[in-house]
Amino acid sequence: MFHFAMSTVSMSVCITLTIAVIAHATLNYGTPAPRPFLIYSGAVAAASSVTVIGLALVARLSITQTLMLTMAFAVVLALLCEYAGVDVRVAPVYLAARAAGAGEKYDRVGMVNSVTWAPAAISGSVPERPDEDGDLHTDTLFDYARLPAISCEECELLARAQREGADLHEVDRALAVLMRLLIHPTLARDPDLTRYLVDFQRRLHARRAVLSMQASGQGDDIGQSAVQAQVQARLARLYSSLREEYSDD
Amino acid sequence: MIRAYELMGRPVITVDEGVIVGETAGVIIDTASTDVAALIVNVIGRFTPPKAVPYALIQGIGDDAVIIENASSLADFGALPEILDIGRPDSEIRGIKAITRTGRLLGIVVDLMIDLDAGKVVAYEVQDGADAALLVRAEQVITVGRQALITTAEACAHIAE
Repeated sequence: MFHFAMSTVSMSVCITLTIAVIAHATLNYGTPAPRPFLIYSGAVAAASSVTVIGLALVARLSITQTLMLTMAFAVVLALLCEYAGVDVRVAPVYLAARAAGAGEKYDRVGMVNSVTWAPAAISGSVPERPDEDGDLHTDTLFDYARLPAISCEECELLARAQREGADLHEVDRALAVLMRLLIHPTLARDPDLTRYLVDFQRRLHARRAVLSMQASGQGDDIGQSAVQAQVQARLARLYSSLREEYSDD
Repeated sequence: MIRAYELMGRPVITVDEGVIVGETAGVIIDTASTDVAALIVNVIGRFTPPKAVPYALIQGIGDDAVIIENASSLADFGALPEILDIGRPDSEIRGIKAITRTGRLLGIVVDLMIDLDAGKVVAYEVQDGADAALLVRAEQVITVGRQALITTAEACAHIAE
């Protein structure tokens, strides 16, 4: 009996982990395997096996039937956890935040040492606010178009994405281009350009947040000028809080 | 200065929305310059592949959390294959042999020491059998290869003494 139970549990874990690794390698070729994903797969398989073995013993199922039932149980359990939003990895953070009296949401970040970021707003090379028409100085971007990392089409896309009337798809594509520039080994070593790109990314994200809200139906009645106003409001709040923090330092 | 291994498992929070988007799972090192190119993040949702945050978009790395600009700072490895061209995850650097230019085996690389202010690897921790770990400074490293870390001959000078 013990032998049967142990072999079923270990076989289930092995099969589930093999499926998980193959699925990850197929779907995300070349990326590192997330360790929590593997731990989770193994833990779910083991827990499912133990649960199902009890059932198998009562119903006198064969090993094959037990294994099939275990797999089905694991899939159902995983789907339930996924759709219920249960995530054991972040649970300790929420508990720690509640214990510290931070309320329901973990939004207290005051303990974090801000050491790696220089706010774009304090630099003279980056406009603290957009121009009167709401645009950034795109000349800077086109200056960098001579670099092999960025093409003229991408520059135009970046310039278009920050103008009024840009759609969500354009902003998403522009954000993808920015991410590629931010990890470029040559460009990332230029502090002025990096600061500029970070600032650009921040503005595009603010625009994206408002546009996606609009797209999801939460802001159907928001016009273009209102979109611009909301983007500015988000950025003003962010810059204001960051400036306070740095003036404290 | 912090060990790369100590960075793992910290919650990653956006400063823009105050949302926990995942937890740290490692760093990607530009092996040519020893710069930290990006942070690997296991995003919330077990079946979502890990993502990368360019180091420039990290606002702060503290004992309790890592703060990034916003949710758009997370890049898919699939959509950003360049990130694996410029650097390598720390998990791939751990476990390789450290050998001097003169062919002397120093041990196995067990961890990387990172200067968070500069965003650079400053030293490699090398384990020589059961003895105490040896720190090889980044300036003493000639190549960080797939199977070996090649150092200058001076990296083992104190061992010879």
